[in-house]
Amino acid sequence: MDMEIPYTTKPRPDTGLYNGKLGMWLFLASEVMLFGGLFSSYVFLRVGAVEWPRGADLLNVPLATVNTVILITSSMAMVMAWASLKMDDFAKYKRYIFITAGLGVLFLVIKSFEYADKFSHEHYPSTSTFYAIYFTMTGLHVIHLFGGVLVCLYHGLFGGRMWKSEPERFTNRIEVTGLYWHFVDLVWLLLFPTLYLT
Amino acid sequence: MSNESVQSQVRGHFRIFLGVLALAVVSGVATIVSDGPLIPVVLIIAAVQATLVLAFLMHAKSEGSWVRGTLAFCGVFLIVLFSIAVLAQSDRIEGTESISAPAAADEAEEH
Repeated sequence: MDMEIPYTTKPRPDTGLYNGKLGMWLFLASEVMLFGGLFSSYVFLRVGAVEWPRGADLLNVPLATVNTVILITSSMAMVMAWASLKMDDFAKYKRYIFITAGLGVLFLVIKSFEYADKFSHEHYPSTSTFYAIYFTMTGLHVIHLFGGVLVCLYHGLFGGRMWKSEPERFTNRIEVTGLYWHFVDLVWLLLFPTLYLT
Repeated sequence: MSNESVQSQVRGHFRIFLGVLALAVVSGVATIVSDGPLIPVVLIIAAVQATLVLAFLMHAKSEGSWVRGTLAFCGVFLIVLFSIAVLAQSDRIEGTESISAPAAADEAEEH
């Protein structure tokens, strides 16, 4: 017997959300708790420290500012990818989803230069409490971004099949991928001033 | 959703994108050119940016009670979490005053 999974495209009457969107919001709630735990650890360590360095004195602010601009731009590219699907333009969607992934990769490349510079000066997580929390928080963010890039590449390379068979469901997939991408952007918008500018 | 409505939504998102971008550049440049710390200013700017992304790019503003409820729960969770960190410092256990986190700045300078 063939049974179709309900609410993959249409919203459930009780929640007002389709399955993927509800799942993504619940996942993001768990992510808020994960990053929230790290941010509160940062506050705990900072207020308890006798002295705490100014991030701008130890870290590369211009490079991080460029990375912030890149990530915000990638969020706009993601919006354009979703909007292209809504307007039935798959070719345009492909262009924008690859731009999103490309900007994500550019962020990771710049971050790797920043890490390489720190390691070349023998600044490791074990060097100080500041560097420990810096590498932990930015490292976790990098892992999240890397995951997002992989998902964007998958949707860009193999999304065509689902677009042909279930266009509405595929558009929803891009919408929830966008939710995740914007969340990773949002986390960086909070990490940047917390670690680099204060 | 019609093409016109999608395009109008994209125009709205583009305005938010420009706003968030401008705020990021202001934060970065202000820190580079200033000598002293600008902690309250950059944190307020970050909070405004995060709110814009959450409300408009993630559409939380137009979502229903389930999403709002989830976000409210997260907000309460964060308030409790940060309160614990601050309370732990303001109400220390007697006899542990001398135990403090390592001086991060000193350690960083040593290397």
